This record gives sequence, C-alpha cells and structure tokens, in this order.
Amino acid sequence: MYKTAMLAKDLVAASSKPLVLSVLAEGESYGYEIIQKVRELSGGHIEWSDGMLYPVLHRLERDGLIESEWKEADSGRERKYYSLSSKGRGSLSAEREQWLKVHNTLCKLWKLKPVST
Amino acid sequence: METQTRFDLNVAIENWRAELASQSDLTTDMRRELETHLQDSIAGLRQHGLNDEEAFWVARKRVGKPGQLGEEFIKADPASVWRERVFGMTLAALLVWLWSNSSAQIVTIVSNAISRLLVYEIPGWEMANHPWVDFGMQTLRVLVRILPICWLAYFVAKGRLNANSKLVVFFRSRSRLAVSALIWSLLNGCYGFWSVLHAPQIQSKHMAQAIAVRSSFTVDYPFLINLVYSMSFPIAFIVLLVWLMPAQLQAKPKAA
Repeated sequence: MYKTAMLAKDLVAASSKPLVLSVLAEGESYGYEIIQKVRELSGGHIEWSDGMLYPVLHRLERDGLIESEWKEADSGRERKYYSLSSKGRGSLSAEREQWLKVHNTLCKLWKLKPVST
Repeated sequence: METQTRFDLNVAIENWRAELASQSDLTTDMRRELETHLQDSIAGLRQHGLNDEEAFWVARKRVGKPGQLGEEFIKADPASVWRERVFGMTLAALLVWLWSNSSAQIVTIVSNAISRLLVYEIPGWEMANHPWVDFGMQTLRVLVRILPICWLAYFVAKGRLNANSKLVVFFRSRSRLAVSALIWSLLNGCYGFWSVLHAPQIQSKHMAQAIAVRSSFTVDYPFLINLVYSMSFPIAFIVLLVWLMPAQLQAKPKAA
C-alpha cells in the first residue's frame, strides 16, 4: 500500500535543512522543541524521528550555519539551544529561493496558484 | 509484560544512560543532549496522561536504538569522537607525567621528614642502613606513585568524568584547565630545581635517588632557561589540551 499521509523518506531528508533553519530564524530553540514545532505546523505529516534530527543539527553547526550553547531553562533543566548564525541566514534565503522555484514550477504544471517570491 | 516491582523512573533513566554510554560512537556531549531530549519527551508524554513507565518506554522507543543512533551521529561528524579520544589520551599522558614527578617529590619530602624523626627520636639508629626502613620507604614510594593513577584510570573507565563529576571544576573553562595545569607544572619545576640546588646538603639516600630521576636539571644553566626547558613538555601538552577540549566539559554542571 502506498502511504500518502507521510512524507517520502528522500523528501524528509532534503527538506530537513530549510525546515530547521526556518524554525531557528524565528528564535533559538532545542531539539525536542524543533521536532514538536515541525510536527504541529505540518499537521502531523512531517514526523521526524528523534534520532534523525540531531545529526542534522550537528552537521549544520559544523558548517557554521547554526550555533549551539548549553543553557539552563526556567524549569532548571539544562538544554542545548541552537540559534541561526549570519551565515545561516544567508543560506536560508538561498534555500528559500530554490524551494519556491520548485514549488512554483509544480504549481504551474498542476494549474495551481503560485506563491510570490 | 509483568511488573512486580514498582517502576522507578530515575533508575530507568540511569540504566538507559549506561546503555548509551556503552556506545563508543557517541561523544559525551551527544549523550547529554540525547538525555535532555529523553527527559523532555517523557515530560511531554506525561502531560498527555501517560504514567511514568509508559512515558519512559514510549520516549525511549522514539529516541531510537543506541546502536543506530551511533551510526547516524558519526555520519554527521566523523572526527568528533576521535577529537574526544585524543583529548582523553593527552590529558592522561600529562597527568601521568606530572604525577610521576610530583609523587617523587612528595615521597622525598615525607621520607626526609621520617628519617629526621628517626635519627633524632631514636638515637643510635642508622636509618638509611636499616633494611626494614629501607623496604618501607620503597613500598611507600611505589604506592604513592601507582595508586592515584590506578584510581584515576578506574574513575575514567567507569565513565565518571562527565559534566556531573566534581573534577569538572578544573574543566569549567579553557583558562581554568590551562592555569591549573600550569601551576602544577611550575610547582614541579621549581621544586625540582630547588632540590638540585640544595643537593650537597642532602644526606638521605632517597633524596639523592629522587634527584637522579630529575636528571633534566643541571645547575650549569641559569634558572629561567632550566625552567623553560623543563616546562616545554607540559606547555606543549597544555596547549594541545586547551585546543582539543570538548565543549560539553565547559558547560555548567546540570541542575538537579
């Protein structure tokens, strides 16, 4: 049976970078919160496995797109917070442009209303 | 599944942590991050009405199998684990080197004090020539040299050197690590140099032996050159340590 509800594996992997960068563009966050936010915004269609996100975060950090810091939350619990770097901001706008190009091409083919860039 | 005993969340997390610790592909920082994630996940599930045990098992399943996690993480940063290992090895080499010098000096001071006590308190005793005293001193020397290193090895092997251990006081920041290692090295160097300068007045055979160990010191050179020479090894290692120091050891210890 073909499952349409969940995103295909390749697409999940490809979209993880722009999604993480976009979430962090709204403010610093930690792994658990990022997963929750993406699940909520996608209406449950994008379900990241917990173990998958951290390697993505670490790779983005190594590439200098995001920065991390251990911080104590209000609850007293320590968490590793990630935030967008200036290089990450530049990368996000490039990603945004590319994804919208793909999106608009598909929209035209499917006779849907394209999104303004 | 049958649960006769009451489920203890803290024990369950402790066991999970131990299981994760056996995964050599994960650095301590990654393990700590995964643990905070597990805790958040459990807290979230409990808000949805699950009890401690259910929340733990669901959260544990969601985080993933330790083996798979290791594979995924190492793909993201293959060098990270090695960076941490080299840091550990460098730290161990420096500690063993510094301790092998310090312990010789501690034994020298202690044995000197004992020999003085014996000479003054028990007249007629030729301390250095007495076989039992000699044997005792040799045993003390060996124990002082070896026991702390054995303890340290045990401590590290048990995985106690992490963000929660008391030793982290020395790792709180790069500067702290550098300063404490430098002070130790300097004390070593100064005492060694001083003991060589006073060599002619030393009667104890043990003291003379200790000095023979420190053959790198010669009175022909000026004090500073001697000091720089003897410090070159520890300084090179301290620079390497500060560079390699894992970020998670710099963080504040976790609030209980």
